[in-house]
Amino acid sequence: MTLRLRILLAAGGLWVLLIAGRLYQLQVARYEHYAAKAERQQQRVVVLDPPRGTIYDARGRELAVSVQVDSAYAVPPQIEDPRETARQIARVVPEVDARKLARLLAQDREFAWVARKLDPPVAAKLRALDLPGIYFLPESKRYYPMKELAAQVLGYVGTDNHGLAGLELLYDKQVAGKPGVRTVLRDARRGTVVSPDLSFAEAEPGQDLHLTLDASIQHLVERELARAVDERGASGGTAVFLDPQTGAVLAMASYPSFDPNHFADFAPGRWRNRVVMDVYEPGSTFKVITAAAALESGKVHPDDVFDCEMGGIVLLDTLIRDHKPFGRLTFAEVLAKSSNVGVIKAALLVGDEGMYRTITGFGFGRPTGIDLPGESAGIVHPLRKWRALDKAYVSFGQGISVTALQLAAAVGAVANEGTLRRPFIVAATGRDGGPPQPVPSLPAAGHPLRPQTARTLKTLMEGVVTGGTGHSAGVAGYRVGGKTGTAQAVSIKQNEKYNAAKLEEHQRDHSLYIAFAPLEAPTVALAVIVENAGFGSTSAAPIARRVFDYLLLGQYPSEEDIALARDGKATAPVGKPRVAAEVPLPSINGASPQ
Amino acid sequence: MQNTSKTFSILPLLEEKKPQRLRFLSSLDLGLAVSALLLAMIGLATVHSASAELPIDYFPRQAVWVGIGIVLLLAAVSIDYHVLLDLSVVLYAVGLVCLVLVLFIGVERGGAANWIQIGPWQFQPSEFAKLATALFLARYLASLNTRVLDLRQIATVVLIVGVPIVLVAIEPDMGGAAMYSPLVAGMLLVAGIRMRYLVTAALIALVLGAGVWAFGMKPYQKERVLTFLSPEKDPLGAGYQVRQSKIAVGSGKLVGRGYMQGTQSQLRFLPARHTDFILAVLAEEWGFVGVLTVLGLYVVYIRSAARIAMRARDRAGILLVAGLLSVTCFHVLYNAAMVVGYLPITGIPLPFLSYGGSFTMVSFIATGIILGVDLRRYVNQ
Repeated sequence: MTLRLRILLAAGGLWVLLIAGRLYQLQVARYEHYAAKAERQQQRVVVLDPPRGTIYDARGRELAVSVQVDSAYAVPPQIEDPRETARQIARVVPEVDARKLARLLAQDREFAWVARKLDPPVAAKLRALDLPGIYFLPESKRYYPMKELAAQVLGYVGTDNHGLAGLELLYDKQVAGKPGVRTVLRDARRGTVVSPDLSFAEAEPGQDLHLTLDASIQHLVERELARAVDERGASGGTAVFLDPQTGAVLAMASYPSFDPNHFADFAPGRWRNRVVMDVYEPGSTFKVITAAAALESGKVHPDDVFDCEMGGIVLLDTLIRDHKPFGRLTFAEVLAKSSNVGVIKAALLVGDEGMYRTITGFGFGRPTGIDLPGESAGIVHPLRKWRALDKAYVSFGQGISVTALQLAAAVGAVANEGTLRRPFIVAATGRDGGPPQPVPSLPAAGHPLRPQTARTLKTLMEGVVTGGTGHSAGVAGYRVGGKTGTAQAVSIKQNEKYNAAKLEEHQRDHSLYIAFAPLEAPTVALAVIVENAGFGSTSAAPIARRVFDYLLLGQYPSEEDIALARDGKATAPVGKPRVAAEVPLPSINGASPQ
Repeated sequence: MQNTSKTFSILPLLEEKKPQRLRFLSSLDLGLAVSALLLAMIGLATVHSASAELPIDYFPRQAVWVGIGIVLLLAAVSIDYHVLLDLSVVLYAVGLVCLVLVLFIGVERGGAANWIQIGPWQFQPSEFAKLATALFLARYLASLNTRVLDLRQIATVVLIVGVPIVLVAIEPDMGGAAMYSPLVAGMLLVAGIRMRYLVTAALIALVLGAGVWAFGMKPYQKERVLTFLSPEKDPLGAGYQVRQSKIAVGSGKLVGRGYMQGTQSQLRFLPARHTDFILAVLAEEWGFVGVLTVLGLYVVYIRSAARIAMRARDRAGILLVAGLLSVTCFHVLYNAAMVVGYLPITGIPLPFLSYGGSFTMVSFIATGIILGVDLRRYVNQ
């Protein structure tokens, strides 16, 4: 009985030896043959760019989408005349160099890209040629349907399908998606096939971003900013609108802008998101911060009277002047009339430490932490480096640098009962059209003011708008608090009067405006800077006015107003405003590329 | 002791049991148990690597199957195989019922409806029916006290095996049906059969094979056989699998490309890489040395099982071990030959290595039964 078992075992053993011999033949003796076969066929595994996630505005409108386009590839062994084929391709595909391609097609390889992500009309022409050995695979290409809208915020995408700037860069990991894999296999009878049985992974789309930014507001802000810059002959501008209660960015504009679909055609300076990257001297807008420090210290009250010395004060042998002479003013009037002398005296009462604590408390001197790349910290010198006169200069916004976003966040803190919110722009992420997952809300970024102080300061800022320098922004229908500012781009000789028309454009002052509305429970806080424009109220404030009308009253500028704006003539709104709901969305719904 | 034990706490009772458990462990055939466990561990690691580019990682599932398998192995060891033989009629009947059921409610996978779905679980009745058939056949053959089987007895054997074979074949799962032949051949050889009967059987098989080819085979099955004969004719069809398997094995070289580095597998060229072609993944990632190690472990397993058969205390034990061993042996030999391109491709997985719930569990149960036969070689009934 066991003899037969032994025979069976012996037969099995022989079989194992046979297989071992075969293994030796395959793995050791003929290794190179099979390794070469493996490499050759693995050349044909092609990695395809996935569709990037869609970026939506606050109302679900598409700001950045991925569209499917054709990429052309060649199977060189199937091409009989590489030079002629290359010549024909180069005639219809502009980015192809015929000589380079001819060399590529003559190589002994299984696969070669001819041109990736072709524009649909180009792809159609290439398909029509029906060249043997030339095939197509679908890939994704980024497309910005609203073109220049919010371009610096969105950023742009390089040829490798990765974000190079803006949200596209910062959220690249989430938005990029997972590349697809296709195996392109050739067989003698049927030509090249893309068989679903082979190595194949569908490209996985990236996550969608849902922004706090509203395309309608953004469009309005961009248009108003462009109008302000153009009619003043200014060099550029930035504007940012926030919800002070949450820190959500409603609009963020830098002018001049660019079209991210063809970003390489624009000067690199236009790619910059000036709102977060560029720093400016805040000028008189910073008097709000000085006022905050003064009121918070308890040493100054709105009704306290300051002697403004009829136009100038001498500190340590230096004369600091007011833009016009003032006598005795209450502190409320000091802010409303923007007296340098008045705020200097208040700052002297507060002292270095009190000033520094409030300035840093509002977030100046460090990035706000917004979810955008390349944010600047601004420049606030550390307290130990403050010289005797520094607090005097800082009190009216000189010797300190801030970003427009920092200004907007700070004025937002005044509006929001003294609580500083960290600005943010991505409200939620989503996958494949699924329900958006809200980004967890952030804790307050600080409490620079007590609520009571904040409320007092709000009223003072309303006084600025109604009785002070900011009157062109004041309107009936809602209550606004604000402050204008002029930051000197060059220093003016002490006896010389400022004259915008006489100065070269790049030497003219920056015009600044910060504001919030409605006064009772503010829902918008903003900072606008028009570079090299001249005085604050004439350039920056009207932009805010039109956006407030739209947001708070639902009114849209009249046709004649828009017409005047096109001609560069309008400053204050003209004509009867329209109800926003009756006005179709600005013509921002760009045509799809198909 | 018996009288006083009532007043004792549980501790002395445990102490009393200790030597018994030690004897249990020391008398277990370590060659068989350890080789099975090592193969299962290697299998788990390879399944993980092979499913790296699959939609899901099969490693956790296979780990659960191996865990259940080990528990079932221990259960099978602890049950006296004579009890199993006594129960074999019932088990065999249940197996047949399942095979009939699968014809009506079977879930189709890869051309053959050979799965039964129970809630989230799927199992393959043909695997369990094979085990039941082995037990029933061992019981029948052991009951005959003859050196050489006569024709009537052979006819009975053919009937016992024929029913499940036919049921599996009409699923249709030709590979599964073919797996009964080593079982029968192994047992008959050991039980005592004249050589001319075996030769006759081989001739009948040939004629039957031709008949099946002409009338009983589905096109995809014919295609498989044809492409085996000339794989280069159709690089994208069934011959594709053989070619890719050979490329995978061949590009492994002496020591392989390294764990998780097998390009044939990770780039998805290799089909069924976590199941039938797992040896090709292993060959590419661990090379000639790796495959020989695994084959060596199978040799240890098979030799240990064979030794157990030869020293078993009764005819039933010998027959049972021989039958189970033949099946495992055949799986290993066929699968290895298929992977290197020696035999046509059928769905024959590698015991302990390939992913698969039913087959893994049955392999462990069979190992447990074999170990149980060995444990009871001295025990008096």
